[in-house]
Parts: sequence; C-alpha cells; structure tokens
Amino acid sequence: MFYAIAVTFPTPQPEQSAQFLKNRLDFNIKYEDHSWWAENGSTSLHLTQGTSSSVLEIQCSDIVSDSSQLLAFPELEALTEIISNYHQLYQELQCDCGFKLYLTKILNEDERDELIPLTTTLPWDGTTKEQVQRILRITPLAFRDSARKKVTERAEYITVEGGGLTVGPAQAMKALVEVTLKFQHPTLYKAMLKENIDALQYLNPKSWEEEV
Amino acid sequence: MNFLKRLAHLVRINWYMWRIRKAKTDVTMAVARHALAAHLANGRGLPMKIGQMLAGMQDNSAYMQLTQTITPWKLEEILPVLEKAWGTPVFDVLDTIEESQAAASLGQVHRARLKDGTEVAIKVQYPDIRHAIEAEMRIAGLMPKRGPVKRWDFDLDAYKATLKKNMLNELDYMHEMRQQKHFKDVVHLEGLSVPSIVDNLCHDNVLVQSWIEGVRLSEVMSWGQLQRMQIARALMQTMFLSMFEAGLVHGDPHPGNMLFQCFDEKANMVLLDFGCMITISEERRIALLKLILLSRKECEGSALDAFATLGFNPEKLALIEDRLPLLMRILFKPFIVDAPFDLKSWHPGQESEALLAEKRWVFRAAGPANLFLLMRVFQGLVQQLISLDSKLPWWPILKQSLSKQVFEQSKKPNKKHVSPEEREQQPEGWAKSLHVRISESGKENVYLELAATSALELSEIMPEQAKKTLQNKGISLAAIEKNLLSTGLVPQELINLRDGEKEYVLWLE
Repeated sequence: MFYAIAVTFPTPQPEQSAQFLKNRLDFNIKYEDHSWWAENGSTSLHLTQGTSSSVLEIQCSDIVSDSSQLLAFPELEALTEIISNYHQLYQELQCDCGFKLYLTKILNEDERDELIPLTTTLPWDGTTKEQVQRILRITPLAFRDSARKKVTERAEYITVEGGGLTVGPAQAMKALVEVTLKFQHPTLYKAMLKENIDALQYLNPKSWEEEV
Repeated sequence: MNFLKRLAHLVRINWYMWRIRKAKTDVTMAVARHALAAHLANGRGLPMKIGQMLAGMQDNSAYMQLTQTITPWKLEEILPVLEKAWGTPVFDVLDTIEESQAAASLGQVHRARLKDGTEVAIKVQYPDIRHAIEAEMRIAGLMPKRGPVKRWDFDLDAYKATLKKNMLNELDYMHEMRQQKHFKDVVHLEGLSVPSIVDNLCHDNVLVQSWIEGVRLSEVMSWGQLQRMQIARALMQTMFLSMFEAGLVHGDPHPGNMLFQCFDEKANMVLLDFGCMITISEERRIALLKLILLSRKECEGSALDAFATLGFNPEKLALIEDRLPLLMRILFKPFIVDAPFDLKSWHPGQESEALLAEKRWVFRAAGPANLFLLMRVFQGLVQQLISLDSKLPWWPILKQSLSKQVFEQSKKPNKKHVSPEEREQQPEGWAKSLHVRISESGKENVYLELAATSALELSEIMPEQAKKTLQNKGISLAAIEKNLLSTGLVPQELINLRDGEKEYVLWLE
C-alpha cells in the first residue's frame, strides 16, 4: 500500500495561507482536487476553509533571530513577547491570512542552568557529587549523558577497588581524568580549579604545555 | 505422615511445578507459585527444603514465607528430646527456655539461658524427621528418567545421591557443629559473624550455640544505601573467600539462614545453619578461578582442561568446545565487566540457551553432579544482591577477598587433558562432518554436509516424514544420539536404509 499523510489545516483564507507558506516559509504548494496543499519535505498540510484559529508551531534554534526575521514580513505581527518558562522559550505571532505561528525553542540543560543528577549505586560525598555534575559541563551536550554514566561508573569502581564504599573527591577526580579525552585535559584542569579543587593532584599542566 | 501420604504430597508438588513451567502469563505463574508455596508449607522435611531452594532463587516470591512460617512443635514436646540428648533434666542445664519462634525444614530453634547466664539458641531436630526424609528420598529415587535427562545421558542418579548425602549430613548435628567451628576458624572477614558453639551440649539431634540478635534480609532492604552496600559486599566476600581460599562453602544460603545487624552505621551479617556445607578440593577451586581469569584474559591455558579439572566430562564438553569461550563470557560476565554490575541485566540461562540451543543439555550432562549445589549457592547470592539493589563491581571485590598466592596458583598451567590437536592425531580421531545422502532409483536427490556435532541433534534436524519412515523401520534416533554420546563422534555409518526406491544414508566422516 502506498499512501501519503497530510494534516488538515483549517484557515479562513486557504489560498492566501498557501501563498504565505510558499513565500515566507519555503513550502511547495499545489492546487489539486479543489484544495490547496503545502508541503516542505517533513510536513504536509491540507489547507481547508475554516474559521477556527489554527496554529503552526515552528521549533527554532535561535528564537530571537528567527522572530525578528519573521516579524520583518508585513503579513506577521507579534501577539506576545518572547516568553520563558522552565523548559522552553516561546512567542505567538499572528498571520494576516488568519492562522497563528507559535515559535518555540526547547531549552537544554545548560540553558535551563540545571544540574542533571548522576545515577549512582554507591553513596557519594555530597559536595563531590555536585562538583562532578558542574565539571561535566565541559563535555559537549551530545556526549554528556554518556560522560555522566562513564564517570559515575568509573568513580564507583575505583572506590570499591580501593576498599571503600563511599565515593569521595579523590576517586571522582581520578575518574574524571581517566574518562576525559586528553585534548580536553586543559579545560578539565581549569574546571577543577574553578571548583576550588587542587587540580595539580590529578593533572600535570606540563604534559599539554610540552605538546604545544 | 506415612509413606503413601508423603508420596501423594510429592506427586502434587510435581504437578504444581509442572503448572509453573507451563504458565503462559504472569498471573497464571503467580497463582501456580502460591499454590505450590502453600502446599510446600504443609510439610516439613523434603517438601520444605524444596521450597527453601526456590526461595533462594526468587525475589520476594511466594516461597519466601517458607523460610519463616511453619508452626513449631510445642516446648513440652521438645523438652523430652533435650533431656534424652543431655542425659539430665533440662532445667539442670538451663535457667530458662522459650517456645520456638523459628521452625525450619529439619528442626526448630528455641531461645534459652544457661545456668551461667549465657544466652543460647538451641536447635532441636524434629523427632520424626529422619524417617520422613529417608522415605521421601526413596520416593524421589523412583522418579523416571525422561526427556533430555534420558537423551543426553544425564547422570540423574549421581544428582540424587548428592542430594541424599547432603540431606543426611544435615540430619547429623554433630557434623554440623564441626563444620560450623571449622568455618568460623577459616573464614575471617570484617562484617561477618558466626555464632560460637557450646560443645558440651551438642548432640546428634541438638545443636547449642550463642544467641545473636538480628533482622532478616527483607528489613535490610529498607536500610541506608551504605549499609546495604556493606551487606552486599560482605555477602560477596564471604562467598569468594569461603569458595576459593577455604574450600568450604555454606550450601544453604536462603534468607532464613542469615541475620543482619547494624552498629554505628556499620552493617554486619550473621551466618547460621552449617548443616549443608560444600567442600571443594584445592584443585577444583583453582580450576574455577582459572576459568574466571581465562574469561578476563588474565592468564593463558585451556578452558577445556580447567573444566575437566572442575569435574566436567571432557569428552562430552568437547562437543561444544568451539562455543566454550562465548559460554564463559556469559557465565562469568559479572567478573568480566569492569564497572558496577547490574545483575538484573544478566540472564545467563537465556543467553546460554540462545548460544547452545539443544546442546545446553550437553553442558549440563557434562557437569559433575555436585556442581548443582554450588550453582544453587551462587544463584542464592545473585538473588540476595538483587534484593539489596546493589550494583557492585565484582572483580575488585574478588581480588580483595583472595590472597595473591591463590591468583598465582590459578595462573599456572593446569593439568593437561586431551587437547583437540591430540584428539585429531589419534588413529581413531573424531569425525569432522556429518553427511546425509538421499537418493531415489540410484539418482542422488539430496546431499548435505553438516558439522559432526549435528549428529547429536538428529531428531531435531530430521524432517518429520523421514522420522516416520525411520520409526517404521525400527530405527531410533534417540538411541543413535545416546550411542554417540558414549562412544564419541568417531567416523561411522549411522543410518543406511532402503525404503522402496528411496535410499537414506547418514555417516560421520
């Protein structure tokens, strides 16, 4: 079976809406079977005549820039300022052809200024846990979940290997050094210092200074 | 219970176990488990022992109640037993004695105070239990050999004999007393206690030891993370130290045989009931450690030789030799992973079944009968660690538990058994391939060349129609497989059958 899926999108002025989507948001449009259709490769809209106020959500990577670009078009006006809640930034825009645009930007853990907890098995010294959580921010977001898991497991392994059952700063910092790639060591060194940790105990700046 | 009643009791247990095995949903499984648990709880001796074995393996299962709930005998029925054992009025020895709060499969425990003020636990054997156990063992001996047990030449008699020997040992409290004292002497560990024996009051059916207060494992689960980890580590260290250094393992690790204490945030485990102990010779424990080291690639040597030293039949094991490295990685996975190990993610039974398929029975049949007791202990440990929600790394704990000498000894080359190369050099070397030829009117219709070990799965690989033809001609595939297991896969013609114009020939080359 071959089929395509389109979302029915009621709007007071289907043709004008189609033109807007084409001119301002790079949709391809067509008129077929007495209806207007718009698609952009990921979304397919069937524009039908309707009075209800439909909303098209646009997820942005830079909501400030995208908002100002869109508001430069005469067809659009802002219904709200850019509003921030815990998980996202958002703004509502009104299009003169009848429907609304909802701009959103999902916030990542850094933008939320959130420290994601480590999934631990052993008890950890409270301060150490928070220090590790903050230091792990040097890891690019795409790799951070994996880094959190690896550092936690390694620190707990080192702790048990040393005969202990509570993870302290020495085991945690050693794990951070082992798990962090060498080219990141200067950054790690600085991050440790920022946490008032005696980084020299765990890293030797000469090792990368010599390489440079 | 008389012989016939006990027979009916055991038959019903068998029936409930069958229902559990055949249960298709979690609900029907739970219902069947509860029915079995209720039935097991009705009988002391072997039925309850079976229940305790199940409790050791199932987390919070219906069987857990069996470790703590059974109606004890009244004190008035027990006092004559004590008087007979001690040869003196009970209250010449004791100041006080309480009704029993803890009844188990073979006996029950009373708290008492000696004349000198010492608090003691008196374990008294049920007056009729020896006869009951002997009757049940006779019934168990009547169990028929069926299925894979028969097909893969499984030495069920050896298993029954091992079970019987252990049950009889458990009935001898003087034997238990000696084992307990020996264990206390040789297994020293921080976080582990063993009650002291009061020698002069022990008898064949009475065991007197110091009274120790503590809580059950179920309560430990609500303790803090650090204390739970301390208990988890103590459980692992006790197992490793007793197995690899002392060669004397507590063989009955169900939760009813353990108490736990906590003083100043330090957790302590008390081990009770030393009736079922497993002794492991130095040669075998070194071989077991060698297998772990081989799995970790920490030493060199032949896994087959180490398995053989452990008591496995090398000829049977050779049939799955190519899969041994992978099998070891499954079996010893907790020791291989260099990270806190989540036992919930480990399914050795399913994984080895996926690896070996029907040949998993070759592995089981190759194993020594007394190994199942050790596996039961290991399963008990795994279950308890899961209950404690502990994900500890195994390898560093094993390293800390054992001396360097034990590791060094395990790294030495082991006793040599027949290597695959040597087997190939033998004049009657083993076959490498199984050939199947089906022809009609002299014209070859089918010709297949398979691995020689496929001959051990003839009844699995043979089409139904061909099986019917063979059966009609009086050829038994099971008999051929059994014969191959005892003679080995030597080159030979297995089947040569003419059915009208059709001819079936199978041979090992």
